[in-house]
Amino acid sequence: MSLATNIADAHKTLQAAAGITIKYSRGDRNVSIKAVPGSTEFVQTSGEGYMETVESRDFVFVASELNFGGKAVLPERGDTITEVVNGEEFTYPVLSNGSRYFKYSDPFRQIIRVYTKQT
Amino acid sequence: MPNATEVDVANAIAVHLNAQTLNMTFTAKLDYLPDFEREDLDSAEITVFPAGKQISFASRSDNQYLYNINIVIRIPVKAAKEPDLADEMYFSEQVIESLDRIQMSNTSFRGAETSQSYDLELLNERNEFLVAYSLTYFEIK
Repeated sequence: MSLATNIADAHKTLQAAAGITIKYSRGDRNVSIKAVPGSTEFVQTSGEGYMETVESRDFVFVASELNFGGKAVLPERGDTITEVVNGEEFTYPVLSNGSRYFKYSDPFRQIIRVYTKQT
Repeated sequence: MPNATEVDVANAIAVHLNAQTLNMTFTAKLDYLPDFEREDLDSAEITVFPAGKQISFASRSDNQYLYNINIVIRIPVKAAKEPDLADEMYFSEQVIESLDRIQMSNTSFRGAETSQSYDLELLNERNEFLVAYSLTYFEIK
């Protein structure tokens, strides 16, 4: 079995154990994806005499599941991810974590981690 | 107990701003601990806080007091691939122009400055328009 297949299988196991359904939206198009929530943390920044924190949340899923009308796309600014927690809907815009809006989580570009923040 | 002059100035700025009608609905308040949470920002907010002061000789009998008051304007920006900040920047300009040459608590407006028209990092990473101005007021006494 190849390393790529091993990684895909490992992610399927993780997805089955800890996956949640999210709605990934771009404009009026959206797609349901089984994603694994990644790190959730509060990020602080400071400026001229002030501080600000924001909740940052990552979602990890199979890259090919992000497609609109069968055409695979990559995350970009302006997209949103919606999840339901205890009956309450939370929508997170896809936002840069300081560099890009996502990164590949494996060397074969099968799994991606998308960065969002609650704004 | 009387207030420090810079507190009176900051308070007067907040009161003055809240009395203005600008192109956006907003609230202005004095906040000694400007520690924001982005999730709470759902409309334009202006935070005013004392930032510093300088005292120097003005004459044999009087001193010149310079008071630095910071104001931070924060506005949520809609998630978009190419954000448009025209309204936010106009609002920011209106805020500063409303303060031009207006006395605050017996001190005179001397100027306002900002090193950047908006914080690029916060726009990119938090969908937020944020600009911080440093205002200077002076009095001779």
